[in-house]
Amino acid sequence: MIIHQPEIIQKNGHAILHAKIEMAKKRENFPEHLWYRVPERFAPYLKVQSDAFLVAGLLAGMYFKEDIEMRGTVSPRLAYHLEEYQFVLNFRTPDVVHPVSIQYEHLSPLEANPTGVGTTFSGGVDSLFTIWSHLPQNQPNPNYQITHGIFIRGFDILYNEKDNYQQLFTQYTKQASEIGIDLIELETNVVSITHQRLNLSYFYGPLILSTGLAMSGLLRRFYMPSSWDHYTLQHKAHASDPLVDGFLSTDKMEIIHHGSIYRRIEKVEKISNWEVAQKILWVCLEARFKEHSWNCSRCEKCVRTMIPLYALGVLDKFNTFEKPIQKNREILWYARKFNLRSNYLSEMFPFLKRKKPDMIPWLAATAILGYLRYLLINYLPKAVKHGLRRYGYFVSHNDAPDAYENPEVTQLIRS
Amino acid sequence: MIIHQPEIFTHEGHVILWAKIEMDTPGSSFPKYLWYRVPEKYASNLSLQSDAFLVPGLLGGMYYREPIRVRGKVSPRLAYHLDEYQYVLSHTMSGAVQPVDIQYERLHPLDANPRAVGATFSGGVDSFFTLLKHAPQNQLDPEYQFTHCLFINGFDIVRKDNEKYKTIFTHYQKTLAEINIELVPIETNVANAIVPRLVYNQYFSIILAGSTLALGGLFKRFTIASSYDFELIQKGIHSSSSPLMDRVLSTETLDFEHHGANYTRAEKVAAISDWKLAQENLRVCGMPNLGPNLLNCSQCEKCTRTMIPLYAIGKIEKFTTFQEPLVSNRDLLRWARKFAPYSGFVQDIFKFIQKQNPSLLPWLRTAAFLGTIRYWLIRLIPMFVKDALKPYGYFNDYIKEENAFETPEVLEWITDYEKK
Repeated sequence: MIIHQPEIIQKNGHAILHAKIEMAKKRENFPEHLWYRVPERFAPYLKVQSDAFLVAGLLAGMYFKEDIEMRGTVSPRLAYHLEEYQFVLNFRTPDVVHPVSIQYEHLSPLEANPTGVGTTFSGGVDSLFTIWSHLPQNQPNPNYQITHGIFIRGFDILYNEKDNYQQLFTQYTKQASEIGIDLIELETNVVSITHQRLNLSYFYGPLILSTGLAMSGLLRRFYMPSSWDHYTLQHKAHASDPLVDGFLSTDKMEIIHHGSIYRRIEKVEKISNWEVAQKILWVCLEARFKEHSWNCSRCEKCVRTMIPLYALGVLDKFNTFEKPIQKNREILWYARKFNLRSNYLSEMFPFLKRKKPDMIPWLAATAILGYLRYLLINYLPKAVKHGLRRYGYFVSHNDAPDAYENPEVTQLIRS
Repeated sequence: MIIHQPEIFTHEGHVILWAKIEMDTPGSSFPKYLWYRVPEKYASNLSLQSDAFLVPGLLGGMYYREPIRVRGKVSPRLAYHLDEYQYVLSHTMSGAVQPVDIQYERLHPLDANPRAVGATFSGGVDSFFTLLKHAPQNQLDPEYQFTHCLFINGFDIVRKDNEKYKTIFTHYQKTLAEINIELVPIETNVANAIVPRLVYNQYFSIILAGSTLALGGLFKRFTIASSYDFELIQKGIHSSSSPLMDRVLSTETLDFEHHGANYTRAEKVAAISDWKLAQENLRVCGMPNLGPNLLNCSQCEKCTRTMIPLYAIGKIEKFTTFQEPLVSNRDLLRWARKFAPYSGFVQDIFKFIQKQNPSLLPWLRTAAFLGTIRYWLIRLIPMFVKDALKPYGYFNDYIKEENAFETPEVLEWITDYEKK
């Protein structure tokens, strides 16, 4: 596998940082180029350092077991840690990804002096918690306060969901600027590397971090909001946690995995009285957007987020839920999309015991019903699931093999 | 708890960096002073930041559940990460220590531009392995090649073996000079932040980190050699030293690295087995009172589990530092004498031998069987019997002896200085 020297194109008010990826064997639906597109005002911060492409492309090399030849310049610090990084990923998923050797054309730190501090700005609980934690009133050290947020298109939101993205982006920009954060609209096709090959919910870490590295001319520090706490990470190690994310730091960018010392429910509680979160919280797994309510309120993520907010008595302040819980009995909706593997019940029960004990019987009933439903769904034959797809069941919005590609950008790069 | 502003003074060719620690808990056995001592030539490398005292002092605060006030300057980067450090430490150690609140008088990075790259050097397997991997022939980037190593008095050598420390230091200083590494001696009492309250083997990394932070004007990058591999870490081995934990103690001017957790101990032994420097200088033995010229007793658990893989790959005779090396398969039964069935290294050895020399397995299994019986018999011996046997050299925990890691003269000099 060869990751070629990155290049930059500026066109139509955007700047695109891209690199060609050449596989030793032809791979179906594998991107020919990896790219990151930002508005032109951020063009000066795009650098032709190969770090972002190595971090993303490494997953492909490890999955396909192809040694990597790096053209261009890579950070020595990143190169130093990649042996251990690969070891850990393979250790955790021995049958999925394997260490490969990497040859570097040139090792040198980025020639820049970035001053910004960034994070992803997805509008979710983890991202909002990280931002809240680094507001001046919570983080007195200005060197650790967040200056920039990256709102990624091509991760939770696909290219054909342009209106959804725009709706969110408009609101996010407004709220971000009120708290002194410059929002970067970044589009990328990096998820194409893992799409229909690797489980994105496991391997998203390096892909998201690569977007931060793409902006390494701007950011000297990048926070990766944690998805799991340390209790969960003990049993369920992922490709994103305080250990492995730190390995991807470069000489000029420190990557910090933030928030693992808090359980999700603790994060929800912390941001529950924050006006910004109340206006823009977006957790929904379904891609259905109404004008101001982005959360369907019926999927698993929506319900498990609403439950603690309802218990705290603040759910009515959150504008973005289409059908917020209004009675205890409505938490039974959780049973409909219950996911036994996510283990949020272990946090929810103690939390409700402290905050709203009268919800406990309903949660217990939900758990029983949800568990039964979960078993039923799990044991449903594949043929049945396949047959139900035409009615909208068992369908994902990212089923298409090119779901994470933007043909317009691909065309630009090729030309 | 108050960690006071560090101070420095010179005494008889050495410089002592020290800070007073004030505890609220009545009867607390936490040391009143923490200190580091280096030869005068390293005086300009000592850092007056409170970082070197906060890291070990934190253990006192966490053990006694006392919030901490730090006088003096602390690295903002270190301060930022201490929430997570405390949380993970508390979580890993099953509640033996608890997170506490820390108030800082001033957050400011060290005003220095350190250049050295190094690691601790004890002469053990982990040390030699990390040293080998960062030698120019293996580490092409000069930014990651070692220039200095730290040899700590007050880490694995107790005070009563001071003469031995000097002998070994002189010897290692000369040895490492041959590969262009400067060995820096540092003496400290920071181990008293651990013993006798906590298990030494679980928290030793604070000695390494504290000593390095004390020399913050010297090191820009410092590697802590791993004691456990990822498999053991995943199984939940209790240790404050891990790839995550060591790294978060970094400051703006000093990057801590943790090296080697992607190798098992037996793999490390194999990796260094052809290196002449290791063959002539390896020191793994944990026994005190060995005498200044003897590095490995060959009888203790550490010696035996180091010799077994060397014997299995036919390299033991090249290692000149074992007093009684294994010479026959039957000698493997020696492992039974100090066998530790739950140490975590047993599985590593068996896997290694299975691959390298399966003919030894019957002997190893016999040693493990006998060793397990012995282990449980020892555990069942009543305490009063163990106490009675102590004068004869049995069941002595030398690290818990009085002043094992303290130098009373240094304390005297500090108190005299404080009075002035």
